[in-house]
Amino acid sequence: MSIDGRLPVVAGVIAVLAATTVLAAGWDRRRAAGRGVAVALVVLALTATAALQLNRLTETYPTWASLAGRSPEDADLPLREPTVEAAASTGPHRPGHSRLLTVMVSGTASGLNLSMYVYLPAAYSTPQGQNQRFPVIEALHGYPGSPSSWVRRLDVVHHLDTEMAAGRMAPTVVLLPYQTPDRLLDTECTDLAGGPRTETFLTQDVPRFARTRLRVRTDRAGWGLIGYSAGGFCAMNLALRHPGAYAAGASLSGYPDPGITVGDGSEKTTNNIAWRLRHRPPPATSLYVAWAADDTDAADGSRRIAQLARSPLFVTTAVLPAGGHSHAAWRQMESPAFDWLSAHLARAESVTGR
Amino acid sequence: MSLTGVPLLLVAVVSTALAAVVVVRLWSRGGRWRLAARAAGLVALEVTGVLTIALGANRAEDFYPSWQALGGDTGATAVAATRPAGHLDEVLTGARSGVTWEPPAARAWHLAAAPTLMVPTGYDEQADRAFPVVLALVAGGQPAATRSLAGLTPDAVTVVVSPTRATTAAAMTTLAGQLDRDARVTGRGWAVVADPPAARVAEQLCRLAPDRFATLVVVSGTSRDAAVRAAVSRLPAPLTAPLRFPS
Repeated sequence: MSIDGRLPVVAGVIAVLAATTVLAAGWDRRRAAGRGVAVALVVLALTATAALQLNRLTETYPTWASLAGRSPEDADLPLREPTVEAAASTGPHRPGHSRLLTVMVSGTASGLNLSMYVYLPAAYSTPQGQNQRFPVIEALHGYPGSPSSWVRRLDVVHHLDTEMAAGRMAPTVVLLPYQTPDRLLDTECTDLAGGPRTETFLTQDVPRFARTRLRVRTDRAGWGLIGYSAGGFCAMNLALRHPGAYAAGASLSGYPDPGITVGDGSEKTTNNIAWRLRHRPPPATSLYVAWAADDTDAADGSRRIAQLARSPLFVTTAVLPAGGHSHAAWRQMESPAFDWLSAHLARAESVTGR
Repeated sequence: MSLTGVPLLLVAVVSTALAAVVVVRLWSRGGRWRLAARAAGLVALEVTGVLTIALGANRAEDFYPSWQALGGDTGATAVAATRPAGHLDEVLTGARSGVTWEPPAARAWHLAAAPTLMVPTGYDEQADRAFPVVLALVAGGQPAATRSLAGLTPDAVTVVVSPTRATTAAAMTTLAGQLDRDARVTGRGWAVVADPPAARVAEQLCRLAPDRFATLVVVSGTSRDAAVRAAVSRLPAPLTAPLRFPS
């Protein structure tokens, strides 16, 4: 029974009803302590059921194992394959189809060891594709959330397959890393003072892993970022902070600031997009900024970013009439954003040389 | 009633309070229906309580600002525009080695000869795709330069021009709009390949329109072919029209 399925929530509702009935029926026969226990059971069942439904929406804990306190690297994620090399050595898996692998990224620079989904396009396994290095997109999740949010709530594999099959997107490897070693710790993809060095993990360890273990482009022209909600901030912030590593970034309902305390005050300066655009020379990069018109905070912040941008930074905006800050809005936004990113990234190049 | 408005939140709070009062009042009443009344009252209290908390959180964070958003209706669906054909598509597909290009604005460019326009193999079969552009600013004879570029710029539309001393970058920026009209090309991220004598104009062009003329490579001598290939490899792939939201 999957933790993010309907069944646990239904079971939770049944448990709430049962506990409520026990409380109502046994009240007159119990003393104060017994009544207290019955009330506590109802509250517990109700809280647990609400938490399960909340977790279904955010995919913060995509497995029971992760809820039990196993770190993300041990999480029993679906579609696990031992290593990229092993998967590749077995030859093409379902020729003509994309694949989603789970890999471990040992972060030598950040000290973080986290698992990551890797989307390999159908072209990756073709005879022609086996002689090519592909462009790469790092896809960043919101908070609370996990890479599973992209896979299960935003159906990213289907969207990518569809866009590539339609020719709106070039064959691209998509990396979906964790952004925190602690599910309830919001890092906003920064190096927290005295905490996890997520920025280093995402901008050094993940690219190093991909460049050494996958057939991907090694230059900035072939690397892009995308994210929704907090991940949207991450995508824009990392693209602006590391213009030598990424050619473009796409934000879906992102904010202009991290909304957390980084620990060194940088949430007001160098980790604040609005501050950066006002006080630092803009880098030669491109941003896609999308929001829903009724998502007040993200809309205001996104508009401010678009207003502050100046050449050689280019911002493309896209506005949904409605949808709020929800998965429904991001499901609508993701395909146009991936198309835009693909048009801003270099094509696959021959392995044998340029 | 707005999903995030105060009235609905007040209704929820009052409903929760009422449910609590009813539960307390009816707790010891109801005769043989007492158990059912208690359970129903408690369930009502639980439901209204959870809804109140959910409405409060939603009001604070704007997850679902409207009933429409709650229902998953985003008010628009992205659609792919039709890629318009280039005015010269028919002429271009019939001339693999390139055609002489004579757009109206070319007179202001003060070139040594009319530009040459080449399309890649597959340009006509992929009629729904836009191709990235390699703009070659050559100093020597244009036919020889065109021949030498053939095969180095796959999956890209190549424009070969020969600037003179009278050529200015400001005037050359109009080339982009002319090419947009005449061929199926991308609107940004072009590569500019320049022989050393044309480097100054090329640099200025890239400075004036950095989104359009994004990559500059000054080529010379034996490394020329490799430099052109490297520039081409950094271009995006030819793509069909992207999904966009109706504006």
